[in-house]
Amino acid sequence: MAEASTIARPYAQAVFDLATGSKKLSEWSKQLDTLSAIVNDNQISGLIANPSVESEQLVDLLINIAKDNLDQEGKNLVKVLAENDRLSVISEIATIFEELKDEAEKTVQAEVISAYELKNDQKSKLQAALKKRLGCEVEITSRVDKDLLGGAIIRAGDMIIDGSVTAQLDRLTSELSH
Amino acid sequence: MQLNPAEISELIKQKIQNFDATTEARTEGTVVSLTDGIARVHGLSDVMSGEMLEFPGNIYGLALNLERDSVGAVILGDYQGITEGDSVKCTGRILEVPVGPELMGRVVDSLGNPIDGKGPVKTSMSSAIEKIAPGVIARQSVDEPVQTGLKAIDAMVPIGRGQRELIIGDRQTGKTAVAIDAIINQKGKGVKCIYVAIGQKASSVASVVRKLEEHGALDHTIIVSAAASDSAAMQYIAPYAGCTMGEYFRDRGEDALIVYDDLTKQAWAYRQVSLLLRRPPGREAYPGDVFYLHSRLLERASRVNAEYVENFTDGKVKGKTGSLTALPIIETQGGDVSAFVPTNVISITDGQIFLETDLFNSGIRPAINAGLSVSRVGGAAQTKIIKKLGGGVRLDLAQYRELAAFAQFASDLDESTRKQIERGQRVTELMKQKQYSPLSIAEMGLSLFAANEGFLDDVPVEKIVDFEEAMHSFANSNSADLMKEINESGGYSDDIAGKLRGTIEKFKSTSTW
Repeated sequence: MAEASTIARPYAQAVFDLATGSKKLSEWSKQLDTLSAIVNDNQISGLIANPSVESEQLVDLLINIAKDNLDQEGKNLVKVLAENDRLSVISEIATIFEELKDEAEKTVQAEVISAYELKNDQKSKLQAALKKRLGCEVEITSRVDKDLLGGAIIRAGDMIIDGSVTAQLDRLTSELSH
Repeated sequence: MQLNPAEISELIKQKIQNFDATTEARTEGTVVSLTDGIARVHGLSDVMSGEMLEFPGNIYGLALNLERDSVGAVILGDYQGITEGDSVKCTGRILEVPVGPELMGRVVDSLGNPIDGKGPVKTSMSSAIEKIAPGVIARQSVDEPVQTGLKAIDAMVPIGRGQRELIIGDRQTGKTAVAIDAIINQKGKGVKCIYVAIGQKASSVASVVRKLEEHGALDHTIIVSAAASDSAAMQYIAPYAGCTMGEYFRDRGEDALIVYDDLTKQAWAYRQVSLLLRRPPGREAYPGDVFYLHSRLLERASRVNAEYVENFTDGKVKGKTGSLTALPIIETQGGDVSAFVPTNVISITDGQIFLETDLFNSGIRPAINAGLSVSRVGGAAQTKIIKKLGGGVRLDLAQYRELAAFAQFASDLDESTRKQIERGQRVTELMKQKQYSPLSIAEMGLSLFAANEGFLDDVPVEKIVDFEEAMHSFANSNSADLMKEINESGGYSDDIAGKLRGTIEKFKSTSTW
């Protein structure tokens, strides 16, 4: 079986093209967010996986839960996905859509994991440094992990810049043991 | 408690002082699935094909399949501890093994880690295992011999330095024995040897190591072992790792000999890896690139010219050619040389030594089939004396094969046919040779001369082996000067022929056997 993200890519691309055409990127982003939140719910995902539930029923259910959060095109997407039996990949579609959106807006999501809470001026310094390094706007989300002891890890997509004390200690360990 | 030499406080101090505490930037991915040593990794957008990947716990993998959303990697070594969701780092390096003369006399695995319990290998260099073979300009034709010390091979299917000569035969026909004899005979001749054991029993590898040690041949030999219990990935890369170690010598103007024992098992291991990576199977379920698997490996065995060596070493080594001779081994099933892998390797190599079960069982050892064994380039490299005298032996055997069927009607045959049959029987007998007892050029020349000149015709067939042995020891003690001269020059002239004749006549008239 092909991977979920491979299946999701053409859907995400289609949604993205549609959204850029009608200039409704942020609306779509919200809709996909809602949908993936719904689909990730344990009860709903159980229903999607259940072969005895008809796809029409699923569509009705999803649209009813989402209510006003979906416009007509959003509802149509749900119908198309249900028809093709691909409702389970909605969250991947949302992820890829966000990536495409970031790429188009030249922004990158970066996660900063630090040992201590970041101060605001540290954040803006990091943001400026990352902007210079990656060549595009950076949106920073931060998280605290005491296990790092000190320093921080920056994660932007696949790239990881590891400046944590634990990583340095690990490398010192392997250096000394050779 | 044993103290490790690396724990001297001065050294530790230095290491800590020089420790590079900068942050590292890398790309990372996560393991999505892990089946039979194949990991699917999500992420790793910058990974190169053939790059080493680092899994947690100092385990390395090799990126083989680069797909849109995932990377298929084989794990080199033990994959028991790896779990789904583990992070995988790019190392930015193509798979490398340590190389250098420090590996001599050691047994290492496919990654160059010592497995003989003799402590760490202190190499200073490492080199990529997958390299492109030298091009047309860098090459030189084969014109120096590799003496295997086996009469049957050196006389009939000679091997030159830089040649690829296939050793093919069923199980239990003495394929490994031929290769080991060739390695033992390189002692003191300056040819470095590499023995790559692929998919063999660990006990077989251990006995090869012991035999080489007993005959003093381990000091010029590197043994790369990927035993049957090692992962398929390790068995698949073992020949490339060994080849890289051999290329180190070739590129520095030295001569090296590499034995791949055997490539059938490597093809099996590669088939396993490919099928698990979901590459489409072809004939005999091998993947489409199984020909390239062997052709790119064997193409790296070559003779390179002095200019190439000079360029490679930045002018440090001048006027020396380098060579890497390959002796790949292929095991056939029931003598079937038309199976997929045997035909591939036969077409790639510069000739083959064909070993047969029937011959082996009838006591002709090495069990070389003289009719089917050929060497396409070795003739140009043969020592002069062996070339001159070996031709007759080959002809005698060819004629004998045609007439052998009539041997049982001996009484009804005409004189010349009977003589040919008798000569053939004696030459066949003469080509027998014990294991681990390689002959020098002079001894070989003496035996061939005796056969050519008919000195064996009055010796009973069953006494030929004893006769030869006695003749060698007689010549070594009574005509030491002549033997030394032949060994050093390898030439052949009327003068030498006369002296050989004299020696044999004297031996026949004075000695018993």
